Amino acid sequence: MKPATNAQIRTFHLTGLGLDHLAANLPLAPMPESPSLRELFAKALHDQRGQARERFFANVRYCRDRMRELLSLDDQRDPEVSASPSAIKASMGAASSFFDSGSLAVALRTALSPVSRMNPARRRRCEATLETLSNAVDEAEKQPEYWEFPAADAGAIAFCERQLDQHVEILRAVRVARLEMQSAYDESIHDDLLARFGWESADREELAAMPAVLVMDSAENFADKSLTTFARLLRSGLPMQILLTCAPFYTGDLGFLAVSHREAFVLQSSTACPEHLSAGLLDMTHTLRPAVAVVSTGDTALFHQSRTFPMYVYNPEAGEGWIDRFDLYREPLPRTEVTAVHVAAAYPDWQRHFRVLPTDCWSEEQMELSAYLAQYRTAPPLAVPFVSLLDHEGREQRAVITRELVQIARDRQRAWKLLSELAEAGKPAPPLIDTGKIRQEGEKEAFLRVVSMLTGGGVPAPTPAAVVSSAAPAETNASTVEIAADPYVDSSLCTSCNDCTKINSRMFQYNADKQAYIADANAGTFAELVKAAEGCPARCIHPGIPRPDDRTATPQWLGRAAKFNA
Amino acid sequence: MVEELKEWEIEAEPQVCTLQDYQGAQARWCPGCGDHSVLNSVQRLARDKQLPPEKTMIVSGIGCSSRFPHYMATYGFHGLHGRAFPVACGIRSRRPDLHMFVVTGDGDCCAIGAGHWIHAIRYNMDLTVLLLDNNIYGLTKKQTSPTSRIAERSNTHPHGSPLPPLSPLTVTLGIANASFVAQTVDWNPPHLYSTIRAAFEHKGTSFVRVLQRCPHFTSHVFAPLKDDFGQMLLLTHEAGIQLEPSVAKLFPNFAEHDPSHLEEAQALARREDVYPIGLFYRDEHAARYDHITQHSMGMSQAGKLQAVQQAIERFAV
Repeated sequence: MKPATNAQIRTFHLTGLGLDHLAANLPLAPMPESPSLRELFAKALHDQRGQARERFFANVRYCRDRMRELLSLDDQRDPEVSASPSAIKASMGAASSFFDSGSLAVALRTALSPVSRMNPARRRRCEATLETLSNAVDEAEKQPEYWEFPAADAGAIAFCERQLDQHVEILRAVRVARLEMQSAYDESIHDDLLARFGWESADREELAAMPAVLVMDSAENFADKSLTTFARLLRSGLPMQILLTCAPFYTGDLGFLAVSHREAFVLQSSTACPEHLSAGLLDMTHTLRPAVAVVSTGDTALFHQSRTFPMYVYNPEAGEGWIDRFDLYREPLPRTEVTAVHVAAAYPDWQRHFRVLPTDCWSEEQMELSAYLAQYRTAPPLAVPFVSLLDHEGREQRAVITRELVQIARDRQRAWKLLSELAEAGKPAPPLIDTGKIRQEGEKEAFLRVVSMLTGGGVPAPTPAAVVSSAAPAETNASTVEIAADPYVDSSLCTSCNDCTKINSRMFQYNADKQAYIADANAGTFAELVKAAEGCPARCIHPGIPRPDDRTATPQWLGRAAKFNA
Repeated sequence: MVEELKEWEIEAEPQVCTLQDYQGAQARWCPGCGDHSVLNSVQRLARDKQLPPEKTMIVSGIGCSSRFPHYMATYGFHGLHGRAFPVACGIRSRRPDLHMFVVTGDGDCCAIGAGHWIHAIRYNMDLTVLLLDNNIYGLTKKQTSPTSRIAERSNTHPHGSPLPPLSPLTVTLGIANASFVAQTVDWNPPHLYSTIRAAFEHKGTSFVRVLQRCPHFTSHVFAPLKDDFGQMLLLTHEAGIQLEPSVAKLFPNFAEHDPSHLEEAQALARREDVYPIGLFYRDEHAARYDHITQHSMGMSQAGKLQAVQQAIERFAV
């Protein structure tokens, strides 16, 4: 960053508010070594869509080659073509001199039957598809990565629609080719479906393969010309990318206007913050919705740090709710006292809005700007707002500012307030820690430890829970192993031998791995369960305990079941 | 509209295969036959690996087990008796893209097909070989097979088989360039599945002997093993067949065996007191003949003619 020159900052120094570091950021010239916005966009676009495009055209080339093979195969079935002396000669290559291709042609012509050729409609369809695909491959090499459109007028929409129509032709051809390859094209179904196929039905990867349509304009120019077109563009759903650059000290709300269209992607960022900008551009080039980026160029970080130009991303693909979609960039921002006025002080164009007050004119009726804005609710306070500045000799000076600049500062401050409130809206509150409960538990444990020490109980018990349950284990060891009451099949051991399903196909059924399980224990008798268990080669059927109403639950069957329940 | 379009696209190109997509004709093996279990494991493997049915090939010879290709809804080749291996090697020679299984039996592989067996193992082409060994010729109703135990009565030997059985494992482990040898049982599907999976994942000829119950003719041979897992010895190793702890604990006897040790594997294969179950031997670096047979794939007709021409021209005087 170049140091500030006296001529540019005249008598002003931003100070008195801990802003010395901001002064170092002046003047506000574009960063010469950083990549231009267009380069950043092109890189993001390539990162997001380059591979999809390569994959797509590899697929198109594959389809084209298969269609070519299909047609040449059909040609070979034509005796006139395949059995002509020249074709025979060509197919023999170097060995052709050993044969009389003329006589061979006569012999083959009688042997080949023309029955198995394609029907003419299919042939025409394949030829048309091949032509579309070949053209698409040729065209693809000439196409740029994106088409840049200079102005966002109705022409851009028409242009994008035209490009989509052309792209849809390729997509249709790919689908026809895929179906033809498998001989699955059914005219009664697919003709109609393909006729109705539009770009809205395409996969995102297929759409990403089309060169992007980029509209590049300046925000001021764009806002002046036609907001109607802007609205149409954002509502169109077309995969268009709009890059709007704004000059230093742009105070419009074009980005927020775009957000209000709800389903468009919106990025507001600055070249002074390359991380935010490039991350935002990556998201923007990923989306296939209408996408708008309002990018402030040629300013320093001061512009957004002063909250004059809020940076944010509104990405409708990030979720359903506002909280997922909207991301306001808030770090790192200095103290709130820096306002749009301090930014304006840095621009020569705006310096006519400042007048330095001679020291003898200072009075009680003058008020520091931040205090003035704080008191400005519905009506302006009865005071003259000023900002504190230091002159060359380091003396504090007051500069009064015009009403216009005060209004801008107020407007920007309120815009920021609204945006940050929106960014907070719906966020979950931080979890509250129940300190009362923790304290209570701690007290209880401490109490038990003290009691234990006083009564000579040895090592203090760590928690009250352990003290209570220490007597229990002996009893559980003594108890016998429980028998599962319900019958079950250890399905993973089933060998799918059909034995049990033959005994009772309603009780025993196969799962998704074709291994048996008990689908309905009530669909058969206990005796059937025991028989199935006895017959099971994997021994994975366990009959369990019979239902009380089961008449086959005789001592004899219970005895036979015992070893399968163990 | 969008949904409609997607539907017929899916119909034309199935995205996910379920078990049903691999199930061919209704299996006609006897109820209780161990082959059902092997069939189910192969179908599950095909589903889990999402093998395209049109890119999957089952080759078999003749026998009960060799009816396998009919029950898979994939491509199959039900060949001549003993000739599963040469057919499979022939296919593999020019089709590196297929997933290939060879299903053979103790008669098909170890008797009439023994010559092909030895050379197929040595070729080490990428094949998953399942030898379904039930110790008997079942399809032709009970004749002695090479793996029938001594004194086993059959229609060909009513007084009992006079010769000691041939062990498919000691033979295979004795063939030069063997690269994967394992043994499993049909009555423990988790082990069976894991073994077939490991065999499928191995690149080269993976030879799996499956001890298979024939409920009709040799039900007494493997029934004691099924009821007493103590007659089997589970081979464990981090490079071997991996089992869930809940399944492994069914086997009371287990031994750690490193599948890279050939001599130890051969010693295990010779044991007669117990049936070792698991991976005996694996060599990832064994030479593969299919790498040579597939050498000139993709060469055009003109290219081949030109190559022949060049070869002939070298002899020009």
